[in-house]
Amino acid sequence: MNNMLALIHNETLKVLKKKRFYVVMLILVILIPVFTYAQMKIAQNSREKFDQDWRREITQQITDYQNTLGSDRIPEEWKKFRRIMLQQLQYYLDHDVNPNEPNGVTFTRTFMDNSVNLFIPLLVMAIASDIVSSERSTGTIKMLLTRPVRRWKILMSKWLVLMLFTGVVVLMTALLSYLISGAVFGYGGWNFPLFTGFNVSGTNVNVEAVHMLPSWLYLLMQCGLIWFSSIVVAALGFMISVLVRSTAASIVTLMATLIAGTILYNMASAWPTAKYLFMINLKLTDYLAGTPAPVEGMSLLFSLGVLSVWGAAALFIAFRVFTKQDILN
Amino acid sequence: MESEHTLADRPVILSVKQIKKKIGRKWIIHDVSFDVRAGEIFGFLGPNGSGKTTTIRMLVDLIKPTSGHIQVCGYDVNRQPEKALRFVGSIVENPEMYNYLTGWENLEHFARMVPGIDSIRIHEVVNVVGLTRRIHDKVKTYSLGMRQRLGIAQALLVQPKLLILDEPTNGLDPLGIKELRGFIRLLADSGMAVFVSSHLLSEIQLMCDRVAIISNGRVLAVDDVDQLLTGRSQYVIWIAEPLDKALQMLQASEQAKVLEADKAVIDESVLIGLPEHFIITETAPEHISGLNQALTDAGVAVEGIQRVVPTLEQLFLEMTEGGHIE
Amino acid sequence: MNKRSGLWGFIAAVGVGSTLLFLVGFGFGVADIISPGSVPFAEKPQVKTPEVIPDEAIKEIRIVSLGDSLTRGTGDATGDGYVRRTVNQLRKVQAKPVKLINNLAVNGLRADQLVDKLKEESIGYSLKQANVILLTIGGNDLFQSARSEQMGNEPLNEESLQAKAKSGVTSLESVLNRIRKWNPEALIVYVGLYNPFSDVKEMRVIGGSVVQSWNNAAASIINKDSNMLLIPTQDLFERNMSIYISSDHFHPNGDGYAAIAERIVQSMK
Repeated sequence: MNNMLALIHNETLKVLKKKRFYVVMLILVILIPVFTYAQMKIAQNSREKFDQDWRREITQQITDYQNTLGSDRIPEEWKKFRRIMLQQLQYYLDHDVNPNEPNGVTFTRTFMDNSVNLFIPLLVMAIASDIVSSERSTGTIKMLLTRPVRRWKILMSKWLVLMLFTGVVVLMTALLSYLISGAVFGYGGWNFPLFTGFNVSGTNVNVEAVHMLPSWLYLLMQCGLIWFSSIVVAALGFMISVLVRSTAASIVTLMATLIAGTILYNMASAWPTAKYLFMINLKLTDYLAGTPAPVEGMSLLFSLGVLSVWGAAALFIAFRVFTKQDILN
Repeated sequence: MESEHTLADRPVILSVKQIKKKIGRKWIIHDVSFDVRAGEIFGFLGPNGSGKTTTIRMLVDLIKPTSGHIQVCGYDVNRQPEKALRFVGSIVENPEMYNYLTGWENLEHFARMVPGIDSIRIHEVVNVVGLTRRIHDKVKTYSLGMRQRLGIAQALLVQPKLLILDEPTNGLDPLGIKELRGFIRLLADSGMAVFVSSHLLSEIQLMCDRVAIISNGRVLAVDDVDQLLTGRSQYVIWIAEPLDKALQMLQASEQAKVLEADKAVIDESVLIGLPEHFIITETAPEHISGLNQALTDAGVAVEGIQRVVPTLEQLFLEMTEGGHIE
Repeated sequence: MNKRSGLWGFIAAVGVGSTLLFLVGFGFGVADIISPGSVPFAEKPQVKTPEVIPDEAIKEIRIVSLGDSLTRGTGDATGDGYVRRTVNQLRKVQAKPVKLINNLAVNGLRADQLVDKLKEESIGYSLKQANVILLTIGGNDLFQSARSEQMGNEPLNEESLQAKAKSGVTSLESVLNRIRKWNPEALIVYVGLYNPFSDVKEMRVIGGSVVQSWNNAAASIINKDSNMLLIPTQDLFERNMSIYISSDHFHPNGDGYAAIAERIVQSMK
């Protein structure tokens, strides 16, 4: 145990000293203000158009959705999605709750929702991709593995540290987006009610199970689900980092997989088998928000299952390979 | 000899028994066995590509042998690495450390991986290798020599019973090499077993007590350096004026065998500073002075006589009786 | 030294802390999705009706438009339709500022559907804030099926069309009533129907007579309320069909919408 703590100390120190973590933080600090600014512009626009009257804005949005539903040019998938969104918006309107109440918490919630399948995974990958491969590309692995420590222990310490940093990355993304956007939109809104429990079946939304949650609890649940997705992404990055010697190659492999995933996500309805890919299942937060899943019949438990299998397989391969492989160069 | 007798009494620290290694479909190591005892400097001599590095990696559990056993202080390196490697300090190939950490942080890093190493011990090894002044600088600012020292420092950190150094003189200047040689002898005298690999015969000769010669994944011979190397062919370089006359006389002599002026048999470093023309003979040391006398008497001005060690290639040629080295 | 070891310890602690926090969040999230409302702090939502805070002194013209594709502006390449054009022209001629509050038109809407839509609180919410309400409705009641029949080149059946007109006008009446209920004071501007088939030989007469009877019926309803306007368009399109109709032969084009807007602005003076 003591030994493991020392190993974790080592690995944490290395991640910090490599400066990669700071680069990730820097990306957040640069990008979040950009999104905040864009969000602010949108808010300004609607203020001009609707006199800050969110009810009118939502009413207009519903009408606009209804109009696109009538168009023959819109693909059936989009229509289905819009029909569901429309019913949810109507629900918010009927219960006199603004789904886009402008404050730091709402911004954070929206930002996290949009980051779950690409942005946060990329940040996690940035750390995961070189946690093992950098030892191999610089040759330090020879020093590391000639210590009187079992290989699985060394790899385990790296995995635990990666898990810690995944937690830190998710936390920092939420925290920074709250702190930065709050400066513009205000820091309130923790107790603002949000609706969840929309039961999507086909194109209809069953509102029987809908209930209100305070924003802080919703955000906590959201971060928890994002964290789970991120851990699975981290496990896959970890495996590739073990399998691929060059850090650059491992980053490229990971990015290509993730970006292919987001492209596939939009086409998944046409190819139902895609639901077994991990990339299609990363948006766990959709189940919370009541957004329809990309493939019919996907549920939270299904997605958790798929992600768990991918994650566990990745870790198994990583440990198996790392403990058996010959270090030839 | 008496020293040999005492050596045999010392405990075996590293024991390598019939290890074989197959990578892909190719056998890289056919059969390697040797023992290294406490207090000796053991040379591991072989040209590049002979299986030297693969063998060393097997000694420190970086590569698992396909068959055979490697034991350090009685523990199997591959089965119980956490016990066996506690007694081993090593540098495999270049001493690659974490560039983004300071020398001190690197040592702390490796110290944490073994229980019972405190900062006092780190100070000690830093002092021993003479890095005190630059130890808090980032490793990326270090010269090759400094990295080599830091590498040795990390190898000594665990107070090893077996020190494995792979081509330790790489990147060192002549003074540094000499220093290192003295340092290694000091360590051996304190009871440490030192395993040194090299592709340079002269280096092994200068540094080691015993040597294993490896070629094509097979150990050709394991013996005392003196027995193995000194007993072998003795080349003598003659520099004389007039050269033609000297050549005639040496060819006529039975005690000297003139070799065709094939410079390949001699290490290039030996040729530096020699005139363009000279004679190489194979001559037993006891006959040199007699031959010199004869030449001088005949009016040949002998300007230089030099005994040289044959090259590794030459040695192999003799050992494998004409078989060639790849 | 101490500072350095402090940093790694801090990061590791934050990592452990956030991991635990997210585990709790994950647990709650999964629990709430699988069994909705099972987590603490969950509440059943109440239906609430928003109150409209009356503007103490409305100094501007506030327009809400609703109805069918004509109000949407279908057929207009610029997308402005008659609504946006009316707003723009009013801005030029009126001293007061003009504001478009909402355009709630939906393509393909029939009068009976609009009646249902007008039951919604949110629509009422917007209507309450308006002082001018623009409306087109009825075209789909009459011609939705006719358009498809036209594709099959089957002649329009006058009898069935007249029957549709009759029920449609009833719906129109309840539409107007409902709007009035939401907002007793606003000026309601109803844009009359035109015959989109006036250049199609077989349907010219039939279409014309049905539209005529619709407009007449609408006029008699609207005339009862002094604060309602009927904007006739039949004459406008009858004479200028080829210039005012868009390529789909049903909706007006930009010029057609401009002509409608002009009439609205003139009649509002």
